[in-house]
Amino acid sequence: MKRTSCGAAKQPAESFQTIAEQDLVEFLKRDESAAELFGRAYIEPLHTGVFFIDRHLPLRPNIVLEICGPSGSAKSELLLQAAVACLLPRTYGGISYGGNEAGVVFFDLDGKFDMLRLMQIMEWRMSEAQSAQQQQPTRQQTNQVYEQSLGRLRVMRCSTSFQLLAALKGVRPILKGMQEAGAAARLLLVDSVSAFYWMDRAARNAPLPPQAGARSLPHQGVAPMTLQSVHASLAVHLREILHRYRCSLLVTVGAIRGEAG
Amino acid sequence: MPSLQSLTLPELTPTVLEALRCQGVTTLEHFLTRVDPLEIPDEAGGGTSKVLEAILRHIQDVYAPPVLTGIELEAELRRTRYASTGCQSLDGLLRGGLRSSHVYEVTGVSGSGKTQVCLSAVASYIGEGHTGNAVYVDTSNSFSAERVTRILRDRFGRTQNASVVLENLKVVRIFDSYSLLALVDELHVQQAASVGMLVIDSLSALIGPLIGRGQSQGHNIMISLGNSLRQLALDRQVTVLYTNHSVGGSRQEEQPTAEAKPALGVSWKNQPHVRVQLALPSRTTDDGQRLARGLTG
Repeated sequence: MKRTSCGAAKQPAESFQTIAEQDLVEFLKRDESAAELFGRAYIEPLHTGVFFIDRHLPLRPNIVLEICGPSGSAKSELLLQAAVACLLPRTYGGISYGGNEAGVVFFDLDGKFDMLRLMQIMEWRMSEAQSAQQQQPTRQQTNQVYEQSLGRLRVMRCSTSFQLLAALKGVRPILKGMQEAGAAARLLLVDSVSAFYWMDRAARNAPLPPQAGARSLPHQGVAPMTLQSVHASLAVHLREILHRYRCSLLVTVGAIRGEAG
Repeated sequence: MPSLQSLTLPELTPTVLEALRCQGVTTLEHFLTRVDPLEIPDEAGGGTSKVLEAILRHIQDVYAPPVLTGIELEAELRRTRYASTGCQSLDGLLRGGLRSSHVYEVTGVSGSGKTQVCLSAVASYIGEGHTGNAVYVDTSNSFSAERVTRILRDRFGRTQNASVVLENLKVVRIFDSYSLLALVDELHVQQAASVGMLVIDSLSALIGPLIGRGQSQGHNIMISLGNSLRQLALDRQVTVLYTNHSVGGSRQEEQPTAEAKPALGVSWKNQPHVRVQLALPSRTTDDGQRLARGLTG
């Protein structure tokens, strides 16, 4: 009996020790090496073809790049160059185009998105790649590249801040759809954030009277679409989208001068 | 502006509306500019996300702009029409002429030919037979039917009477900015008798007196007008051409450093798609041709 009891007592202790040991061994076993982690988590930055961006601020996810300057200083042009570099395929038909094969969402707030210019840049880049590799693809292949690249572009035109905020809410299912279709958007472009500056500055909605019995909140008596609240909301929503869908953001800001200047 | 109550969504029960009102959200604008997360009571048991989804779906259906794909934009591009300005070298500078859905500004000192460009563009538009009427807004009594008829006769061989030839041209004399805003809005919404080209000569004579130090109302009118013109061009595929006279500056012989600046100021610089700057020929050159420089806005 003693033996059996001893045996019975010994068995759980043994198995406990084995289980604990097993757990320990499992725990200490490596999940993956640093190289594997790097390989899994590292995302190639977007190559834009614009040397000062690629050199000083490679576009990784969550990066926000603001381009500001006076009127006519090629801010919108920069956005189009980055868009084309993102849309083109890496290789097609044996020719390496050096693009990122990723989706682009363009928020056109200025109303000056020039499709002709985008096509010109795309055509130029393609012909450069073709002549550099001394290959002449068929017309059908070129058209295929155009179709594929343009299929990854989405443009939303907004004429007021309200419409822009509504667009940002509505863009999430679009981004999800693009992700599922295999052309995940990696670049968001906004041209330009200062488009509604004067309109919002002049907006004077009547403040709401404080509600009886409710807690007095800081934004309750204040007009909702003031410049500050619009910009704050914009920043939060954009950041959320960047984080969720792993994109980079390029915005242009026009130089705003005072009325006297 | 639209209050949440007026949306009449089934998910927005009075309890939910009251809870939202306590958090300061009564209109869609409050909802969109809200930064902190909302606390919504879960009464139907379907989860608070149902309420948010319903509001978001409504926003997406009604207020969010349509999403245009690259393919659709390319198809839209193929439908672009080019209208000649009447001057071959100017057409070359503009890479083909005046494009539909674009806003063009012609700026220059007095006498550099801005009105001539406007009259010539209108005459070419009629002569080339584009679909859609042409509307000429005359704010400074500079429109001349004889000149337009003469251009049509010399360049296009239209020898009929002025009233026949200028059938598709509507000349409107406007002397205040509110009438101009009203006209642009009217052109935007009207369904019948579509407009293909809108010429305003001169915009700065109308708006210039309104802007200046301490006049924010005039500045707002100017910006609204710029937005309205751009929206008209984009939505109705209209070609818009207007003139902006230059102030300051002097003849080149006296003070070569003083440069004439456009009257509508720096905040206006971003408004047009393309700005064409005309200059008078200096005395030293022999040819009497005007010099034009195109700047993209």
